[in-house]
Amino acid sequence: MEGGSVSGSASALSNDENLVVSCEDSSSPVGNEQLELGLTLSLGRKGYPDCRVAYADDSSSSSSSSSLSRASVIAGIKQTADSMAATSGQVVGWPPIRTYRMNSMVVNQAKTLVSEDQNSEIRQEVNKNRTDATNMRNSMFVKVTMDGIPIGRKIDLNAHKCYESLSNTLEEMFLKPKTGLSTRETDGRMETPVKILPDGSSGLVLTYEDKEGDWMLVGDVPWGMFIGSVRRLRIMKTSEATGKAQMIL
Amino acid sequence: MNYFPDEVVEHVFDFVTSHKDRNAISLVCKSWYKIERYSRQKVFIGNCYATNPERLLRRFPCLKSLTLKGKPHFADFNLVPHEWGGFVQPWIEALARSRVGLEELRLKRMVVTDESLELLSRSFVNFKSLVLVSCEGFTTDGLASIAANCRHLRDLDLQENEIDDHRGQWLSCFPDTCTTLVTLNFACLEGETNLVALERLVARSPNLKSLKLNRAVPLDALARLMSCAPQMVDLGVGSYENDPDSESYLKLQAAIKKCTSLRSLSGFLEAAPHCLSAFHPICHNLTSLNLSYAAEIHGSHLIKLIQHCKKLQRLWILDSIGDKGLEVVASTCKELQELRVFPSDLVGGGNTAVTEEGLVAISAGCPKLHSILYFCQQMTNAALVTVAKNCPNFIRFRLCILEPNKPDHVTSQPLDEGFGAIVKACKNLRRLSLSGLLTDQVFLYIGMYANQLEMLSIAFAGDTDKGMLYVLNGCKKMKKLEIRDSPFGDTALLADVSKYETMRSLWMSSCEVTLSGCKRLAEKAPWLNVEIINETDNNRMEENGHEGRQKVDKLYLYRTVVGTRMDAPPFVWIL
Repeated sequence: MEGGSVSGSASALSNDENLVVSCEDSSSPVGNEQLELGLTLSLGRKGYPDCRVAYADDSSSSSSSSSLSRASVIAGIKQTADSMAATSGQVVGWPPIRTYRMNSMVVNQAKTLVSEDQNSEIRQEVNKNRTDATNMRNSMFVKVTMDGIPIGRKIDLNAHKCYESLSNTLEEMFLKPKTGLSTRETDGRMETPVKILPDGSSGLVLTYEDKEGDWMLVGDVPWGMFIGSVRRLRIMKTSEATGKAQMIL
Repeated sequence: MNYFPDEVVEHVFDFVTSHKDRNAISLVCKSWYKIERYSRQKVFIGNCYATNPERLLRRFPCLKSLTLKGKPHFADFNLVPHEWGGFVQPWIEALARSRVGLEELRLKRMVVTDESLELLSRSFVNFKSLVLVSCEGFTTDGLASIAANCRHLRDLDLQENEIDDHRGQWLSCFPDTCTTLVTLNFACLEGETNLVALERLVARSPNLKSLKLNRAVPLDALARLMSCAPQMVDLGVGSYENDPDSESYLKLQAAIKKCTSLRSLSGFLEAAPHCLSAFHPICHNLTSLNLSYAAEIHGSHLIKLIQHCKKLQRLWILDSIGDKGLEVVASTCKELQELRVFPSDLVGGGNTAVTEEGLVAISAGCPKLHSILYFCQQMTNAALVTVAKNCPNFIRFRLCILEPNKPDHVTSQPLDEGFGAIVKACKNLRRLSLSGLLTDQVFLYIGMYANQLEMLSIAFAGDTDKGMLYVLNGCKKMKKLEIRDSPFGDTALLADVSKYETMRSLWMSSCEVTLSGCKRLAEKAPWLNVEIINETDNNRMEENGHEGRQKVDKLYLYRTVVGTRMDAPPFVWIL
């Protein structure tokens, strides 16, 4: 019958292609805003003994034992090799909320803290202790660019409590060579002084853009205030930094 | 059908719009395949690496609308390194060279550059609609090109993208002759907005139906915008910090009353804790409400607003609404179809804002509910069983218990039975996300009952390879499977290689799969791209040997008709 038969090759081709050009997801279509937040991620991993503390409150002992055995099973699972997670002791991708939403939540919380209390750093410390008990941390990822390097990186500011640890992480990210060699093997030729020093002895200066769009030198205000207003970071060459009118050097 | 001229057949095909159906008719015979491919205008590609632009254009030379998705879903949670891929540039270049009459481009999780946007804006005379969701890599300069060059622009819809805001004048790049805008969404821009340019643009866009502002648009500007666009259907309020005694507020109240077409409200990105009441007069018309960014609005104000929203079909809210608030929703919003409850406080400990009780109340009160995303602190099997009984119509069910590995908080049992009840009752379930303490048993249920399931998200669940095997063997319609931190290994991965041809992709991170297992898979299935993503250890993996017994951090595999991609960064190893 004319047109009734299916050519083998045509159907194979079109079937392959159809698998690719397939039907729309059952998940929310592209047109919806703020899609897909996924699943929760539990924590029973090695290095997080606090997880057991969280279950000490459970009335039943069987639950803690089952979660402990889960912890030991999962403890055997290799941890994700993400340098940020490694340095900050944080589980990547937890809780399963889009970065965009997380950032807006953190900004709101930081704002409240800063406006309510002068000693915002103390407040944050207190909150952080409560946080540690359940090992729940929210991330605040901001973009970091460095002059001369085309691709920017991201860093989670909430993984740090002070400028020094932030600076150390940035040095790791931008100034250590990525050759897959362990750090023991580098010959130390990339010695990196702390970048925050405003005297520019390293030739580099760490700056941030605040909510108002002004570029400020990192390190001048208390950490809590910094967290509440920072939008992104930039590692500038000192020569550029002196040119900027709003820099406080 | 075979005796009709092609034009008649084509006319019939015009009524067939879904991609699934179009694919099906293309397989009937050669002549239908040919007619279908020349008449297909909208093409959906769920994984940009499953094919390439050349093949797309060869098959569908008349395409007008293209939807492309790039990075895997877990990229949303920073599990995929930034430079992984998903570049739109080669697609736009190829489309531009081919002179296809592109009118619409919808991208999700792709890397878009200013160069791409500039090329896009100059290459397609009839370009009308740009929708970017969770994309990155571009700045407001790219937006300026779109504004300046797309003469017939109808939709510019930017959802949760990471855009470098140069605070340029992109809004003023819309020429005075541009009057065709229907959708303008720039809520995700962080910087200052040229309010004058914005107001003039809105004033000269009589067809503007959807306007979503960023947080830099203050209240008085909002009042003026609403006054000159009373035809608004979908409004995203930017900043909403106001003084109820101010003149701006009075003007706003007056403007809102005139917006009788308003059906959807969102935004409130920076909101004062009161003054939502200005919107009460139009609430009875609202079908969609998104207050999930309004962290500063107290639960009681949310409830007061919602009590007026009897026609609501879609509600996105923060858990600060509480169980009591959800009970109000359940008794008021009888038309509710989709609910999302996001966590408001991640700092931990403290207000268990919503619990299983809220979920049960909603399931009991809202008979039309079919999609839910629910973040909560605790859950019980009994509650899930009740929910399943009340709502057998779920299409999407995503439950996120914030505290890790939490069992049923009453019985201390795993939540296997609860989720089992859901999959058994909800025969149309297409998407499921699991959480809490779960054993292999839940996967047995899923494999047995979830016949329509297309997407499944698993984390910290299961005990042995059997769990994953139940799913792979049982869920015939599975398309996207994503697993993290679960003890599934090579046995499950390799059990049925041909299964992956029927799926779009599989993601496994921090599981038990080994390098040699992945290599064996790649050998057996040359039509798959098997990607190992390993930021630090890649070079070492091959060197150290150990006969490939090392565990693989991140595995992402997907079917493809075009083989290995050429743009993978060094830390992605394609076997």
